[in-house]
Amino acid sequence: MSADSNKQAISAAMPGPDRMRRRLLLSSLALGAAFAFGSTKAFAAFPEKPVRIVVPLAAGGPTDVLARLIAEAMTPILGQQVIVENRTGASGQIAVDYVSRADADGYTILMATLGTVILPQTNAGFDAATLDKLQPISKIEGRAVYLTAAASLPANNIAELIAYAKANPGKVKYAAQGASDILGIGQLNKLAGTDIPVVRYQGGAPALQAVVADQVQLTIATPGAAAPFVTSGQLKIIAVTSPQRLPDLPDVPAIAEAVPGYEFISWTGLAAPAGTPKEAIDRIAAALKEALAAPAMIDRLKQFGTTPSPDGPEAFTAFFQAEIKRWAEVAKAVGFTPQ
Amino acid sequence: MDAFLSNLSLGLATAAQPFNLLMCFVGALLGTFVGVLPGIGPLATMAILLPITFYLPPDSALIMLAGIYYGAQYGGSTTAILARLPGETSSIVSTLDGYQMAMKGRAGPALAVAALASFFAGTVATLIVALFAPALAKVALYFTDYDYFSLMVLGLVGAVVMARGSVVKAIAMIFVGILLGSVGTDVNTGIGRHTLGFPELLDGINFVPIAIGLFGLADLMANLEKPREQAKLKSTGLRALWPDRNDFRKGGPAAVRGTLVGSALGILPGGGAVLASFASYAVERRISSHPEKFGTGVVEGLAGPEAANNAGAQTSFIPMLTLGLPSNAVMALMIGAMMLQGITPGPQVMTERPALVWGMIVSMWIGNLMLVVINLPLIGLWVQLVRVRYEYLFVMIIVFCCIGAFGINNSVFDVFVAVAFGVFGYVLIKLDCEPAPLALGLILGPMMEENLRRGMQLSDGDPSVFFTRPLSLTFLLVAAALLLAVAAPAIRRERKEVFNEAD
Repeated sequence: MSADSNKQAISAAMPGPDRMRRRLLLSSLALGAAFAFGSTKAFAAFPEKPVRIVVPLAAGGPTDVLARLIAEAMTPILGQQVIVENRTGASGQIAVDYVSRADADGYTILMATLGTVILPQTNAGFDAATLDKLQPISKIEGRAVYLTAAASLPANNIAELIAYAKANPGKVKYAAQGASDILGIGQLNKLAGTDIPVVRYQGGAPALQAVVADQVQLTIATPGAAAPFVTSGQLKIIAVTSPQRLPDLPDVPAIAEAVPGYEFISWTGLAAPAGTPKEAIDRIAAALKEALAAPAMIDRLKQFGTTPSPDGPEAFTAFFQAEIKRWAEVAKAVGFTPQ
Repeated sequence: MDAFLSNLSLGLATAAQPFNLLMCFVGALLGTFVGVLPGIGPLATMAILLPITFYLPPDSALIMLAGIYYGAQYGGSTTAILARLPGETSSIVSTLDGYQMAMKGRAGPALAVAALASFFAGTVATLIVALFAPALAKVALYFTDYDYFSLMVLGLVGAVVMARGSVVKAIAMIFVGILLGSVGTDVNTGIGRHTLGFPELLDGINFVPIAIGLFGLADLMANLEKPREQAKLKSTGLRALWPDRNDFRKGGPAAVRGTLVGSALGILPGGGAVLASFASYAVERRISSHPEKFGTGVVEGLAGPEAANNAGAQTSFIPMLTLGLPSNAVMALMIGAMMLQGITPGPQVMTERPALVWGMIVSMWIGNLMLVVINLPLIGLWVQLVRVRYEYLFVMIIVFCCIGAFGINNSVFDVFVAVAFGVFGYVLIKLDCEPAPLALGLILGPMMEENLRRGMQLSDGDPSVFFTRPLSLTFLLVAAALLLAVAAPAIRRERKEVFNEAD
């Protein structure tokens, strides 16, 4: 029992008009209770102050919006404000460095993404050991994306694309959004034996726009972003990046059908500084799971083309470590060196 | 025309609902405040408010968010004029003639001109959005990397025209700006450039601390050197709050031209809206019969750019509303807000949710009207602020600057950047070099590089495309003509006279 509930219990047991005198008694009792129980039961009361989710990406982007949705939903569950703080910079390194050095008390947590685990591949100045200073809490969601092409491209599916790219080197270019999808297309080039050059854009929206405007032929896009242009006939979906076809798109092949072993899943999750008490980790994981189970939340995430998949600390830690290893291998295989 | 009128009346029916009017007011008011505070931009404010918008109907949510955006355009000018502190990129130009007007004791008229020019531009741009949005949307898609690069070149050449005094110094400042802009991660290889080992510099130097330092802090140091002039400013401080007939006669046409320039540039994704106020200033100066007076508190130099920046802010909604493509970070956030409401942005929104789209368009005009109503009475209050003794005022400004610089990334590093650039800006003042061309080089440099390199990748290394694409060629030719005109001996002589006169 915490100090607070002690106080309430006593207060309920002592009704009566003579409150002034009793308040003094109560506070000394409460103080005593705090001393007696405070040290051992500190984390039963977690959180006692607002919890901050540090987002490595800019305010307003999809990851930020997702973080704010979750923070909003977790606030009543935890009974404390959950605040989103954007610490952008260096492909997310600033935020990851910051959280790995923060007090391990559960009040500073990181919105981890695929970009987090590939930092050792993308940032030369990033100390790979920093990732070991994080304690993964839970995955939030993971989603396949679409490999989309300009309507004018002669190829209509992944098999045709590979054949066309091999027959016409340089005719198909890929509009890249950032480091993670450069690794993704690099892996495709490696496994399929193609040589599709990468043209870099600053983020998903300009890359997609370049393909819609028929200036570049290929890019990846989230289902939500691609849908209107597929409807209007400016884009076509060549393949999905999940290992299997998606239930929503039974006619669209998975890249893996033509390129065995290919997989590209974009995900988000929460992580705390290593050494954070288990009680706090479990409390956040449980609150996240509850927040993500609400039908309204599932609906909202569907708008983003994703479904919640909270998995808890053990499963997410295993996944996190596996992702670090997997992308290190991909980067090595495609010759993507830390810069 | 019938369709246009029925669209507008549909929009009015949505926007004029009492709750939507309230949301429009809340947004515009909040926007004004965040515009006044440097560092807390509209983007951060909108992001913070995003979760609250879940509880609002979609139209009210978007009306409020849009209000914050254009409200901030108004508010940003206030500090630029009063304290030479541009809260945002778009208000840099207002520090030129707007601040000089305030220094001459005409802070009231300057603020009023800014508000009225912005309102006029907002009205016209709303009509443009309503009339031409679907047709104009295609223009944005027609622009390629080549065209953007050439447009940026034109923008930089325009900066030379903009500067007072020595052409050589202006060109030097542009290059210093481009050099500073090259700090950060290389777009193609991901290698950090000129980062001196600071991970904070991997994304480049943030614009706001540079602006705070170069414009705000540097000016403060220069002012503290000459306390007597400040006393003079006080005595003439409250001559009039309202613009006189001459302000209207000269500022009016400038506002019209600024609106046209801003509306055209606002449609372009990326660099467009940023260029609006700079481009308008260059135009005003070019066609003026007294270009030598620009930078000393000329009303056209304030009215034109103020109109342009507001018009650009308004028309930048066009690609977002009609194509679902964000032209800047704020628009990307609006798209995020739509998706949270279950609306998939894209070309179909206009036909599937006409009440929403037209309601938002009409609300922009109502919001602009509200902003004038909010801002005009505030002018008296702002001007009182200028009357505060400078010994107190400068401390307030410094605190304000530090909070602003800190607020961008919650990082002390940015405060140091602001201070460093304050010292650098002071040196520039002593050397008679103007910071505005530097700021433009800083903003356009990275965009120019990105488009150049991407263009070269797309053309497989063939530079001739920059001269064969009609749009790109046009921009380059105009830039060349402008440069020639500036370099022409006659004009150089004229500039020399101006320069001597200024001494």
